[in-house]
Amino acid sequence: MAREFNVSTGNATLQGSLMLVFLHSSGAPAFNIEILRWWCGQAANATSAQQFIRIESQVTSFPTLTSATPASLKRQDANVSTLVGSTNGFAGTAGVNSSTDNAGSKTQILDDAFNVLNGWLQVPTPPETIVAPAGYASGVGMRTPTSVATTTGWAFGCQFREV
Amino acid sequence: MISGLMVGGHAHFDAKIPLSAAWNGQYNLNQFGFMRPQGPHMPVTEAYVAIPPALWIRDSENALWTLGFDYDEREWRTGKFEYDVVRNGRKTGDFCRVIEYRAGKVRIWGADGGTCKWRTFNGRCFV
Repeated sequence: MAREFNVSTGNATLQGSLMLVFLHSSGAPAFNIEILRWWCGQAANATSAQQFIRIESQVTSFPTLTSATPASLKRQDANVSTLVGSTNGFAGTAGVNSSTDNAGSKTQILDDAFNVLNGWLQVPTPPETIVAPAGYASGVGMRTPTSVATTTGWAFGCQFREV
Repeated sequence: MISGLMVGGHAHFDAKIPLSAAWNGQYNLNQFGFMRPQGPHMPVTEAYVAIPPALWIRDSENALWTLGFDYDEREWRTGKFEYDVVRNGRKTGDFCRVIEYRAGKVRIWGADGGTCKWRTFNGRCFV
């Protein structure tokens, strides 16, 4: 399917128990954002350890991020995402690996835990996908709610489509 | 839509297939960093680890297995989604719902010839 994009980073150094990936849909009447996949893992720490992971929304005041432009998932899909890379988390933007969470109210959507040696992959079946409609006041993101044992060597991201 | 033409249960890699996330069967490891083979310091994955919810499996050859992004749209619509099986960033040609590491073997659960079954990697392909 066309209009599928991913926002990701690899070999990242985390800056705390902060937002890993953050998407904020554009204002209506743009596309809705349907998130098809989240992933997170690391390749620096060779010691078994459990790590909490959380999907949540955040409203009003958003995390300070590293800008990440959504990349077309399908190489010959000429469409460009309605989201652009940005550090501020505002509507119509995407970013990764926040440095500051800021004060916006957060709402938990999904909590899980994984072994850092195995990584974490969440592939919701279609009725369980998270949809951020155009004009949605909140952004949606993935975070590590607790500090990680080793901050280096992380790879994480999400795949979404615009519908 | 099928992003790789299925021939006898195996995907036919063709750079002209427009809606594949891979190119000639190879994923861009800069874009998909988690598919990159890891260093020898990382241990072999424990038995019974399955993808998903794990992100990857490292076998005894230090090969990294994970699920790719190409899927069969028809299966997706029924909820029985299958993704391409990826080894060290390269598509193996098989699709599956689960990759599992068990007894030192990588095996996949997916449709094959109209029925779902487990197939085990024999070093070259899944049988």
